[in-house]
Amino acid sequence: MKIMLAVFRKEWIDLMRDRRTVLIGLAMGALLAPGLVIGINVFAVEKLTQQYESVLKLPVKNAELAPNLVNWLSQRNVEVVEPPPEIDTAIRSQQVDLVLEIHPEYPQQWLSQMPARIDIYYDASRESARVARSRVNGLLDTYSNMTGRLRLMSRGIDPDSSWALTVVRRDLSTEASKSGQSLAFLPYFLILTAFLGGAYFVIDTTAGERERESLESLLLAPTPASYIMLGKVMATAGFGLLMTFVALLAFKLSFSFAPNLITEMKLSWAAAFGIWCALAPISVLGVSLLTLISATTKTVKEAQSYMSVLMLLPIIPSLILMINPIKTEIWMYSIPFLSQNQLITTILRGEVLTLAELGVYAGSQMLITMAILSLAAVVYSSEKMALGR
Amino acid sequence: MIEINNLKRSFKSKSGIVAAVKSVSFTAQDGQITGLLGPNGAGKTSTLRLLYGLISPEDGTVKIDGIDISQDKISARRHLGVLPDTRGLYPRLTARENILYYGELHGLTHADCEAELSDLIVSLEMTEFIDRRCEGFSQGQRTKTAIARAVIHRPKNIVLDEPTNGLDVMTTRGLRRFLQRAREQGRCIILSTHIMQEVAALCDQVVVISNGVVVAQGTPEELRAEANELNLEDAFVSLIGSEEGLML
Repeated sequence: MKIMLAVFRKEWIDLMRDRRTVLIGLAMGALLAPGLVIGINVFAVEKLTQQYESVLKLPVKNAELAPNLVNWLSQRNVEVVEPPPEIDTAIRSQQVDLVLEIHPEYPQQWLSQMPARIDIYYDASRESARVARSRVNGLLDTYSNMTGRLRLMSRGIDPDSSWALTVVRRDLSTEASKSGQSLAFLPYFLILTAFLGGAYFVIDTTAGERERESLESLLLAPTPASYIMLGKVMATAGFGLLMTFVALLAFKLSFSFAPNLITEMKLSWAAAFGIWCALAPISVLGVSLLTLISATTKTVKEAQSYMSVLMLLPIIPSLILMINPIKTEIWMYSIPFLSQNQLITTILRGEVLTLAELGVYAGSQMLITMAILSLAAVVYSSEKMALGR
Repeated sequence: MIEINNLKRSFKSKSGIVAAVKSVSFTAQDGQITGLLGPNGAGKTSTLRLLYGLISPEDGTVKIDGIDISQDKISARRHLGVLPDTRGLYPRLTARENILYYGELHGLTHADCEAELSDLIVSLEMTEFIDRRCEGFSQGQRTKTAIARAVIHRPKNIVLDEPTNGLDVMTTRGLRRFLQRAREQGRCIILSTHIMQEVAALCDQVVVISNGVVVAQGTPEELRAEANELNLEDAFVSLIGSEEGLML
């Protein structure tokens, strides 16, 4: 234990003296968080108001066949303009978002009180045209409905009799669960920070130590190599947790001070602390995994080449859930990344975790970490470790 | 005292299995400096790595003060101070911190190391740079720091792999004085080298290794007599059977 503490203390001092790297590491978490929150909000708010409140330029083909409709639209912030000559190409090349076409039989159908045909051309895969599309759909529905009711009234029929149902929607989501929804990006960001926060230092204290040729002397100390390894794991996991702490703090503060949030984003101190605790195991797990990897690789460069794969790992469970959504079940708390995702989401939604869930989580993460660490300890004690081949 | 008996070890390489150490036996006595002399690639570093238990032998034993290193690596290493072939320091720590860290790894507190450290600072002439960070140290400063950290726990046995490699004359002389003092203190010292002057100036016993085999051992005088040459240099060339890899 004394040896482990000595290694921990030395690695921590060594690490903190690498000021630039430490600052860059901490600043990334600290600046990225408010950047994301404020940036996304300002951008989204601006875009939404712009699209909903601005005058919508709507190309209409054969506009002269439906003068009443065109007149009605122009009273509702829509400016009807000439259609492009080639509708298909104009939409595909994003010159226009959508085009209305009044069917040649429209006047005749209208007069005979048949449903009159209007075609809407659009590209459903264009996210940028979403607002324009929903505005036009809404306007046309209103117009159709309004005229239909007038027609019924002119025949002496109560227009309300055309409604067979009255549907009242009661949303039971709480304020916290709503804000959890709008914070969907937060878990991945935090899990990644915790998982790989200490990565640079793990590689530096393992593969880097070998490259700087100080590892042989270190492994000659009269102590099991695993103690030295554990001291290093403690120091680097500690740094990962520090980074996570800074990132969480930055989120908390940017939620509190960011102006004009589109949706309420709230993160209480208790929730932030809960999340931090929930992330501690993944921090240790990440550091252990990297210790194993960099103990088996020859150089720092080789160890770093694993980073891009590791960065993708935290997304995999979320991706699977996205493709195949299933309800939260207890076994999920044993899968790394998935469990952290569930935990953070649960905490953000303001729900309470059961003891069983916490038990499964803590137990499974500990087992996985211990398995990885024992493997790493075997590598650390081997000849290969010291010789690097 | 270090007793080495019939060590054998080979390595896998791309071109097949290379027998680095085929048969090495010798005993290094307390109060003596034992030189391991041989051309580059003769198996000196591998022999030393077997000696301090970084790699395990395929055959043979190593005993440090009577403790078999393959049986009890940890206690054997307590009796051993090693300057390995690779002598990297931690660039962001000062020389003092580097040395004290190794004291801690041997289970000593900073206070325990105090007296020995001030001794080493004087005998290795480290006053000038002891509290500077190791980044940008000269070769000599690096070697001195590495030696100090190897012996901070006052080991009875000291093993140095080519200690004067790349050092200037002044530093080399200082280092020799340090080793001679250690001998006077009754410690057992083994150093490997391919420099003959070093052997002539320092060693009480010489073990000549070539191709992983001990080809001769004895005092410098005995070796001269055995090879029937007047000059030590000619004696080595004749013992090894080639001039390759030796330095005057």
